[in-house]
Amino acid sequence: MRALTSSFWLPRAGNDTAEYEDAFHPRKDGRHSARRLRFAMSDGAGESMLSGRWAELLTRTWCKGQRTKPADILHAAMSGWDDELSTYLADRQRQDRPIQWFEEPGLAQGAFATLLGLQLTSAGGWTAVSMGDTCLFQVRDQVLVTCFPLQTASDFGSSPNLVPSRPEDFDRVVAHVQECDGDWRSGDTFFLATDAIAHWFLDETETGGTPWKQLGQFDATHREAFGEWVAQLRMAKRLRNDDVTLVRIDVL
Amino acid sequence: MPYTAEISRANPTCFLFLIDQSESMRERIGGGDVPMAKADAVADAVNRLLSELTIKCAKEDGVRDYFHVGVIGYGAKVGPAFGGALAGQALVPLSKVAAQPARLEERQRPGTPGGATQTVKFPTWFRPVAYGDTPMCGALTVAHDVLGKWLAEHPGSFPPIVLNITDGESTDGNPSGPAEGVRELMSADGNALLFNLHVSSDQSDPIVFPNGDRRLPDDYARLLFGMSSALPPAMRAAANEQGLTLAEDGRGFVFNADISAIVQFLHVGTQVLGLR
Repeated sequence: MRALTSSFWLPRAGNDTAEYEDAFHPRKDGRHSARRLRFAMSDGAGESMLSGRWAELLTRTWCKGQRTKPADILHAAMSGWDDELSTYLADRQRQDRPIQWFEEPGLAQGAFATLLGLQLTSAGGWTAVSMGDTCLFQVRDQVLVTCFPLQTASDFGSSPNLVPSRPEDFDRVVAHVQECDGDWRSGDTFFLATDAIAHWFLDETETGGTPWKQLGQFDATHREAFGEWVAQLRMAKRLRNDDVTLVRIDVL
Repeated sequence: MPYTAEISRANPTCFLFLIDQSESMRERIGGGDVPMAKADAVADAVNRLLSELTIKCAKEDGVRDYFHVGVIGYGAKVGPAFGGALAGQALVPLSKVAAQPARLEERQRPGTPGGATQTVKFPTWFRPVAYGDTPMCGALTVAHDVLGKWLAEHPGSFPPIVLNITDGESTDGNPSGPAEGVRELMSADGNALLFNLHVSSDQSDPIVFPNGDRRLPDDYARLLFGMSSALPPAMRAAANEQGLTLAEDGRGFVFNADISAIVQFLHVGTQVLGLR
């Protein structure tokens, strides 16, 4: 099967790109061709240390592995966390920046992030796993046919479920993972979106809009137009000021 | 709509704690496993909250200045209560608070069930004091001056939040007027919020975030209720998401607080959303 991907991302207004804590995979835009294609997106929690790194690790683990069971995927990512942390601590030591008292509890507690993983197979089906409020939308013939995991703009809250890098109760974490499946046809478009833009998308849909048309106009080779559009929505208070990440997948 | 301003490093908000340091704060507080003076319990809870705020705002690049914080003590004198390098400063950005605790103690706490105890660092910025009268009017007047200057520099901020913690009646006059003066301060996002907590020595049940004064036991309780701002909807919703059931017009006021009610008051009163 073949798909064309276009990705767009921006840190929240006022932050620089080093402070962007969403993640998505694969990072490379353009044509992808394989019997099985995997995509992932994650939103690192603002109030945890190293959440951007954890989001990155979660998306890489989903896309690079063969695993399909949520428990296996989460376990694989969590198993990689100690190495990730060791790398960070070694970097700090090299920079002569010792860990401070206010960093110790956050580093001990671990990081938190959402996860949305999508797999398309050449047999014509798709499966998705989700933890939290990063969303998947499927559009066919200009009709929104799938919203997952949230269905309405009012479903967004201030404390979404998150995947911890150091779970106290692994089974309880896995129990919160949601799964969904469906079929795809050539010409379908999938959108993966973190919460700010996903909220806007559902809000537009509920008021009779067709947000997929607006998002379909952006070209990944000219990201400035997307940046200007996001800035306008933020100014108009129609888009919450948060990291914004959108991946559009056009099935060929 | 008020109380919706984004809180960011470019547009921080502030928390100002007013702590009663009068003689009666030596008395034992209700609740808790270990006997504890009210002054100790309050200092412990506020120091712990400052520590939690700092940890919450810590990222890889340091502590983000979403908040400026200050502690004003009132007892034998009225003024800034921070010790150490921050002594004399009324409001300080959180990164400076993080960098300069007056003391950094190590405390033991139970680990996992059956496991060894853990050593955790417990920073403190001010010490318990219990000496003198209760010049609440003076404290509110200082708060008004400090916040007036701060608002001149941060006119678009989420409004400042003042958390007044006391165990007795004001000894320098009726505090209603000065309290109103604080509540009349405003940013473009609304009026400053004044929340009041009464710490109790007796074992009466605390009255938390009431929406009327009918159940309050006496004129003093009604006075503090009248001085207290209503909790903005987002703060109320955040408290309710954490298991409380606060009425729509509930005020930022707790009467007869024991140790756990102090902690709850501090968390509800500083639960602002929209950190960016």
